[in-house]
Amino acid sequence: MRKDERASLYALPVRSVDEAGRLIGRLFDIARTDAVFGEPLTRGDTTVIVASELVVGMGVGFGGGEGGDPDGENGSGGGGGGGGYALGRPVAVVTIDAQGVRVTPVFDLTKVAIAAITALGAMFIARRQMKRAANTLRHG
Amino acid sequence: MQWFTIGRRRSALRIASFYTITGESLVVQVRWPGGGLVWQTPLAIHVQRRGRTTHQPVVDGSRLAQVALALLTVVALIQLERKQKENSHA
Repeated sequence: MRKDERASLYALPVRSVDEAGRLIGRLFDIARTDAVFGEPLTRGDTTVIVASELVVGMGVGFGGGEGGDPDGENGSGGGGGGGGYALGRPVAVVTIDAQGVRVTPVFDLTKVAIAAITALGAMFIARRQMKRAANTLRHG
Repeated sequence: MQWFTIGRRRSALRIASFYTITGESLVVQVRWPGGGLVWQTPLAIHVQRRGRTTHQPVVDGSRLAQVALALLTVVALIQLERKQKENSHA
């Protein structure tokens, strides 16, 4: 591989990092928009606005290198990877009607049930470990 | 570019029947080389009618229940450990 060809290969990841930077910059634009409070939906005399929690995360990484062996063979390579996460969860509903404006919380029973099961599991495991440790101490 | 920012942000005005509603949210931004994270959650709404503004908080019931469960677990684990220590000393 010629030196200029190799240089053009290394230029690729640099361009990708720049593109990734622009993409991450756009990620932060989400916070500037009105994504948390949705557009009002009207049916009859009632208008509803959904308030949601938003979580968006992203990460990328690139790397490259070159090396040679004692026989004089040279090689180079590069690679990259990335991942992202996005979550939107309704937190409350704002209802506007003839009676006024009300904020009704949205209770996610599944989420709370999973947390409760995890908490109970942690307590059960901790209790068992403590009992086991106490028995070991008692019986030497 | 700052690596960490936290702040309150107001959304655009939403007009519904006689009311003008403005949402207020909490925004947490974390940025590191090659990545970033944005967390945005609603805090309150400001309702305006005939020049009078009222404030209504937005409560995240699911998050509160999760935090309560986590605290309860920590307290229960501390109590268990204390009880275990008392039993081993007795």
